[in-house]
Amino acid sequence: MINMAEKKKFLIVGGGAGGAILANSLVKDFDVTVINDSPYHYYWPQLLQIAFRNDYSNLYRSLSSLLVKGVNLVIDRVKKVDLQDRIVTLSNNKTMNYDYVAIAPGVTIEHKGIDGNEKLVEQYGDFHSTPQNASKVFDVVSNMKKGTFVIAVGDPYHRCPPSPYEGILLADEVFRLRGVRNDINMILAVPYPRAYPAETFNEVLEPILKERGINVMTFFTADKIDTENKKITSLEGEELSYDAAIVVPVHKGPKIEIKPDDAINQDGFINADKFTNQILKYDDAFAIGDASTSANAKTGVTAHLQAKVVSKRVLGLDARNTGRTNCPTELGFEKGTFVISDYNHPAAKVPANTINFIMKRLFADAYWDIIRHPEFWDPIFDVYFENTQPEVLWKLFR
Amino acid sequence: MSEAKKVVDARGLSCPGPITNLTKAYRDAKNGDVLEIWATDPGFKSDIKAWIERTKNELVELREEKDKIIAIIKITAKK
Repeated sequence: MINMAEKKKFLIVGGGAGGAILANSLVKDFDVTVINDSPYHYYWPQLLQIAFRNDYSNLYRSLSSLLVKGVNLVIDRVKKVDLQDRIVTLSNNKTMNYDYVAIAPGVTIEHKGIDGNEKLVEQYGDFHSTPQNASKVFDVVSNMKKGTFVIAVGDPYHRCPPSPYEGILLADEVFRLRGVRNDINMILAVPYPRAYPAETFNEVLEPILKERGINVMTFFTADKIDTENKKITSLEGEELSYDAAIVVPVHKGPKIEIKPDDAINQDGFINADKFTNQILKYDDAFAIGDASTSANAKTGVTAHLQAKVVSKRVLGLDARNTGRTNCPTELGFEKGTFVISDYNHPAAKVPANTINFIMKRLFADAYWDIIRHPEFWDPIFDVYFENTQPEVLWKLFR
Repeated sequence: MSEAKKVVDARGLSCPGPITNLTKAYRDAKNGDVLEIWATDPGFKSDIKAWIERTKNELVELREEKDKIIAIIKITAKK
């Protein structure tokens, strides 16, 4: 047994999926403190459920209820992290030092990054920022009777790569259930050459969009919104008219000063190694999840897997990220699929079916327990990830 | 305003893919800038050609090296 006095100090900035799983995985071997700017932990995929189903059930829990006994929790905003001097500064200028630090505070949503989006989101809401904005979307889809409904991507580095197509398919479900679908033209506008950027997975998605009568506008990155004339102009130079529109907003890195300056990129994301999550040359500092450049997809599973890699590396094991994604997505009408890829394999063609929809729902319901009890879930996930590796799925679904 | 050359390293990305990185760089670019994109995703070659056709920018060079595909693009059509 290691005595408390001998345990090294591990500070974790951010108590989201990555930060909380890391804390719970480390508490036996380290003196762990999580610093979070809110007493709550949000399950962000729930914003889609609010926007299209008015379902708030899994939105948040108190962070303290998700942390294993022994993890210290500080509710405060981190102002600065100095990697050279190993000092974290809080909002009241109080400082904390560390032996190890992991920075995992997630993204900052910047509606103003797209001209006109602040006004647009006031009118129609969105499902990438707040529960309030998601509830505006539900008002729109519950009341719209005719016209053109658009979901357009303004920033390809947004959270949850499948969310734009999930949004349009769930909106389609609402319109059909309300009996107004025939009078509504639905458009999904994306920066990519096809509906979903990964060509292989697009082969699964495109027939579904076609069957549901959703028009896809490719190479369209929302850049300016004229809310008076209800028009969106793309970075690529085209125009799109709407009656109701949601533009996936610009995502930036956390609002935390990080020293040295070259630890962050021009959008404020923290430069971390994609295999080890280490920040630059600092072998005592890691960035995980959405805030980090190491996340090839801004998803909870990436944060989860990166947290496990960091928790092993600090114990001297040579764990490395594989770039695995595992994005359960809903397609409406009780169908679902998974977007599963890694650094070496493109997204597998996992078919859309009801079992995958149920898997997604079960996962969402188990989420809180997965965070709180890594000792129970780690062996289950080890088996799951082993047997659903993209190379295995590629053999099953050709 | 000076024109800039920027390397966009999208190697190892297949999901969401190199076009994501290009879009991001395109937002910050101005006419006259040159973007050099590195990718390993085999679909990148046809995607970049389609992107050029739609956006009317200039594809200066598209070549394959041992470990990567390189596209050099001159930004000419930004409004």
